[in-house]
Amino acid sequence: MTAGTGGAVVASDRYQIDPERPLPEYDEGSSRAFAATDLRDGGSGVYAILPDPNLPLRLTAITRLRRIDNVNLLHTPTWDVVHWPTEGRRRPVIIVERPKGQRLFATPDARIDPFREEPLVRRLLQPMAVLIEELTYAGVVHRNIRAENLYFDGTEIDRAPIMLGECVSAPGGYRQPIVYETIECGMAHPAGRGEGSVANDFYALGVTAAFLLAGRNPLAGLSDEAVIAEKLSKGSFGALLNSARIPSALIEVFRGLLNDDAADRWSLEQLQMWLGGRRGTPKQQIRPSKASRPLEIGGHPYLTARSVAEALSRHWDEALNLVQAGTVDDWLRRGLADEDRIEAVNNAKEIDEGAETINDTTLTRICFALDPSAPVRMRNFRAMLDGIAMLLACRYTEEPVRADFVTFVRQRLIDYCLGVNARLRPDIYRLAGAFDRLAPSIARDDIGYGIERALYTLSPSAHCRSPLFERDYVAELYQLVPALERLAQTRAGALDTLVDRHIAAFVAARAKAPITPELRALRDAKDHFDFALPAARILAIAQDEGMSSAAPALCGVVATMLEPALERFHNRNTRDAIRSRIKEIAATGSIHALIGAVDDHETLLIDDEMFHVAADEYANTEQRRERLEYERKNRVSISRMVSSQVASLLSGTIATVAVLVTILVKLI
Amino acid sequence: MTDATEKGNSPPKRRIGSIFLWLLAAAIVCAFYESILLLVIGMIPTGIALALDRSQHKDQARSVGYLNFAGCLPWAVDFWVSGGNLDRVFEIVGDPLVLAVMYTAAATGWALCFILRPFVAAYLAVAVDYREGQIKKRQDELVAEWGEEVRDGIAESAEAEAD
Repeated sequence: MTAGTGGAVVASDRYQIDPERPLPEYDEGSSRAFAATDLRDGGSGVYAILPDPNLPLRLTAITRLRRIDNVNLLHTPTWDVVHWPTEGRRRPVIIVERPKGQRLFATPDARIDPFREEPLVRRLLQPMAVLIEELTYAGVVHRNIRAENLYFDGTEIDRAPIMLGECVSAPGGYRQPIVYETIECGMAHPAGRGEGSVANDFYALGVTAAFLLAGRNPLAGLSDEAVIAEKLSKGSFGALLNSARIPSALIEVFRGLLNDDAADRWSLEQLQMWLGGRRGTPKQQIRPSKASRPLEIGGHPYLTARSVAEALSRHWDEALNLVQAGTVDDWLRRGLADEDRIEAVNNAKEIDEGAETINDTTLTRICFALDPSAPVRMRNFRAMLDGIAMLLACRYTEEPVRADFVTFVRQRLIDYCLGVNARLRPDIYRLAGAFDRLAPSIARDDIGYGIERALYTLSPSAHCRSPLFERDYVAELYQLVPALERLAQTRAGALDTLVDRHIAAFVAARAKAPITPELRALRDAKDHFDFALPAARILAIAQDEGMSSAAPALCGVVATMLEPALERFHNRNTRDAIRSRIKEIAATGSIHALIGAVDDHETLLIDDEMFHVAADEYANTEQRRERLEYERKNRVSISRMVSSQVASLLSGTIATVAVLVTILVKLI
Repeated sequence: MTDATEKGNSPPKRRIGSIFLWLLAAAIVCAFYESILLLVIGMIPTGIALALDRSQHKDQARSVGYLNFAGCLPWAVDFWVSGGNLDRVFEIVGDPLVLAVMYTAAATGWALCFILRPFVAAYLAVAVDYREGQIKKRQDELVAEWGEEVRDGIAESAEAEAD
């Protein structure tokens, strides 16, 4: 990202965004739209979305959507993290192709001229079927199909093609009004609806088609709970289209797309066959069995197991009492008389056989046993199985949400759900495996583990929530070191730590190389230096794997933190040499090289050996000094002894000479 | 068992050797008793020096003995060359000049010990000061290069030795 002229912001070195020119007509919930220009191709119209920074983006979808070139889809060429001048912080932005026309529905409760059968099929169902097919092949579930997210690709609204808007600025299904969601996804918190599958897209397409056919929202004015209650009692088809005049030719496609049983809902093949002209008998959905007498919860009567489960979850404290008192059991046996449900509920209770009172976990199981296709619900934590992680990611700052998530994992509620519902998608089973593998990490409170580890492992797009990045945005590993580099450039002296629980967990979850030894070292660190070296290693891994650019300011901070490491070298010359080398290496910005200089095991070993040699030499000199002191104190006796020795030597020499001379003289 | 056997074996060998040496010495004394008497009388100062010198290596006695022997040798050689008997020995040692030379030589050896003493003392003082300076310099170099903790190596080594 670079700063453009006049305060404009440039994303991906190509798209200039004007923060002073909002485009409210393209706003999506808490995401704001701004005018943007493609600097390389002024003719292509684009705009920028500034998403809610608390919501994870669908980064994988952005990458995959680039492969799709469909005229009925608004393209999202790129995303970037930019400095947003009006807030003085960095924010993610998404660049979106700008449609040539307006939205079909400006608001959820807008009214338009109803679509007739032929335009509905030609302008909506056919192109959307092709688009959904391409999305499926690209591995993307749109999860944002709705009438308000459709745009005319031109000003002639009677003829212009219809384009589907973006789907990446928020988690899948998050922005969908409840009417567009299946009954079970509608019961979940918007953040917990999960990525879902193409079946969710087909359902949303069916609802969208119902909107266009009616020219309005058929369930306008109803609250979210009322919408669900309406769908539960009449089925989605009945709730949306009972009061509408549907052309007979369209009944089959609506019944197919709006089937509340995901297994029986139309697939792409069936829709394509219908669009190709093959017609069948509209299939009536099997309605759930009703009890002979209602169960009253929260002052309202409920007749089906699904509606009872939903009502119990919405009136939690009352539900605990009802279950404890056996009222629910009684209703199941005498009112509903559904043996399978009765057995499932009993099994749910038997898991906590020793408990005297019904607790939250048991009630969660009971609700799921009553409606296995529904989300898992525990008080305010309501999520589809594939939405649990996203709910945690979106509402991480709420302590009750974190506590409920931990309870889910510790009580192995996901395993229970898999045992109860045998009709889950294969990706749900893989997800359950991920939770199983994560359970030991969540149970540990050490740095790099715990709930932070779960957050970043289960939600690959969740941004790092370290307080260090309060004014930045780090969602992918390659962004971590540059973010710290920016921090180091502005706050070098004030930084006393570079790796906290969030950063450690973020790298542990995203890096390919395991950092278990470094995490262990962080856990066992006794002082600041003990912490600094493994922390630096973690950042080096992040820099190498993320192929991040050089970070000289960060290296300077790391070098300062690692200064105590030089104390490990005894030799002062070696310390000075390493200190100089550190300064040079820090300027290159490679953390890995910096650590190599500070933590050079070979040099340490040699230094230690030479130190012992020096210490031995010093000890030796002390002994010699003590010896000299002894000699000084006993100089008299020593000089006497030495002089006697010298005299003896001299005497011997003289005597030898004298003897030789004598012998020579006498004998010759 | 082996030690006991060895102990049992060695004393007899040593005893035999020692007896042989004594017998040999006795034979020499009997054969050369005149020369030995001459040397004994001439090296009386050496005997005294040996008795008085308490040092381990008897350096003072050696100093006296070497020169004492050198002083006795001319007359001993004369005696051996000219042949002689006991009367000749008494004739030699009866000459005051001869005894004076012999004993003066011994005295010279004794005097050397005392004359050299101050010179040796001065040299030792200078040498000690110089060596102490060198040691201090080297210690300062080690501390400058390795820090104060290099001194602690002494304590660690002492502890290691004690262990």
